[in-house]
Amino acid sequence: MSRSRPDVLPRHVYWVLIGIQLLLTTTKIIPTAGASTFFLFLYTIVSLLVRWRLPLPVSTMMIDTVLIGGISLFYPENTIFLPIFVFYFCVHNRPIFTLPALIAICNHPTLFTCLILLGAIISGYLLYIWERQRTELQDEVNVLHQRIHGMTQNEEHLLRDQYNVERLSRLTERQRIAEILHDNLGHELTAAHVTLKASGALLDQGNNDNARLLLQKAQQRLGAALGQLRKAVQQIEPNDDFDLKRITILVHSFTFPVQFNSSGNFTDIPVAIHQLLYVSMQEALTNIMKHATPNAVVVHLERTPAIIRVILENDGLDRTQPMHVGNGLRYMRKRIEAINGSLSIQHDKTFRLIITLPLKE
Amino acid sequence: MNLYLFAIKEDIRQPLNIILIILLPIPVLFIPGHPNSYPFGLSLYGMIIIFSSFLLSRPVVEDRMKGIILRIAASPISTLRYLSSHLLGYLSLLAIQISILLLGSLVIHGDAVTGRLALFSLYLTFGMMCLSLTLAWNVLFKSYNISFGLFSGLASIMCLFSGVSLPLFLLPSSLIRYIMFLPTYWLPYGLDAWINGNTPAFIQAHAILLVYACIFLLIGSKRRL
Repeated sequence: MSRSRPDVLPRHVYWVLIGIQLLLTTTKIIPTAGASTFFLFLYTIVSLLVRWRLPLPVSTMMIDTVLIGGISLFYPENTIFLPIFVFYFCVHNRPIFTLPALIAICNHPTLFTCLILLGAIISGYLLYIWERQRTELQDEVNVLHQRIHGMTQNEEHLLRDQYNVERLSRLTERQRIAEILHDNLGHELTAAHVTLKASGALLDQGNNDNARLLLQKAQQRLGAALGQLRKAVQQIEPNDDFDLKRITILVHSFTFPVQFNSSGNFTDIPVAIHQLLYVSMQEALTNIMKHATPNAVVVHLERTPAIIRVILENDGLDRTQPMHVGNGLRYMRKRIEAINGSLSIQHDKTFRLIITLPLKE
Repeated sequence: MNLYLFAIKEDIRQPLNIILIILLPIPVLFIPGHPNSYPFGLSLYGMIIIFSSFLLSRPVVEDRMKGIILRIAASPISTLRYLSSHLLGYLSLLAIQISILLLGSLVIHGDAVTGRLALFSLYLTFGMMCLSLTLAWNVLFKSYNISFGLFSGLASIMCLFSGVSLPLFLLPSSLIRYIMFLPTYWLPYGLDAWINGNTPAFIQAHAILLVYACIFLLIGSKRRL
């Protein structure tokens, strides 16, 4: 099992750089250090650790800097600790706070201290830039996470809606079948059943002539039932032109004259897709009616093995009003995108709405 | 019962700890010193303080090992209160031990040891540093036995090279520059300063021990659940 590599964060590098600076300072103080210098060395470490453990403002570090800077004016060997404070302020982007330390170092400059100071300033600002970029990226990631969360919720909502629509469609269809069977077939079968029972009773009584007569009637009833069954099956079976017919009716019943053309086979489109196509076209035509005054509306419907594409174009775009995507279009886009479809808008000389719905997963 | 008293009771419930507090300082009093120096037992007592601190602070480590710290973290008791009460409790027990040593020194050494109040303050500061050191050390480990095993080795070496087990004047002067980084060095340094009447150096030893205590406390008080 592979273990994920631990992330190197700016704060880790910060402590490594602090460690390096303390180590360099140690090499310098070991040969000469007395108890006072060693005390200041430890004091510097405490200052850094306090800021690590407690959320103190950066400005409070000025107190320590001024203290050690002040001592350094009288005991120059202590200037060696000041680059650490400069580094701290650079990491926190407080250049003005470095002034006391810089003044104290300039008062007794040594090559070693100046080199450490230069390193502290450069590494401190690099670390600051890294941290800032990291924070910005983290913020972006958070925004994206929020957006994904919102989209997931929308998707769930739309899928629930779709499931409800499909369920409703199924129930409606079942009810229609039940009505057809009851109205057409049920009557004839019940009559045939009663006639056969009567015929059986007559046969028991030895009244064969009447029984035969009733059997003939029952035969006629069953023949009629078969005819009704065939008719019912014809009604239940999907009509080849049904889906397209519904859309054609929608288009031709529109207020403005529409030039409609279609290509491809629309008989085996899933119910959900058909419903979405119908509702989307309805919404698009309503929008034209509400927001445009077209002379010509062109609707082109095309089905390929993989997709259904609808292009609705009108020339009645009102150029005085700014382009605005309303709730209807926004909701339509969400529903289309929920099934991996797309909705695009082109407005140049005409307003063109292109809806693409995928037929395959 | 408040946490402070609870910490003391938790410690003195162990018979070993009572022996440690009362009896252990007695044998070191019989160790003689250099003619121009203080009785060497006073310096060696630093080693007893280090190990006593480690053993006394055992409940804090065990709280972490047994997961009690999780329950404490979920309770209204803050980490600051928990740690300060426990450390103060252990420091009080160390103060009793130091008092026994100084009373014993009065009986055995008489006027050869002077300024017992100053010595008491130095030992107490050293005790604070040792308690903080053990706290910081134990943060690194989850098992008390491993922690103690490694610490006993490290503490012995520290005491050997920092003038606690061996008198400072026996150590080469070139080594002093390096061993001053060991926190244990500052006890014999302070004792020397006191015997030589160097009050500023004695105060410096106090100050450095306190700063060390702060450093170890800052590291050791980081809550590790």
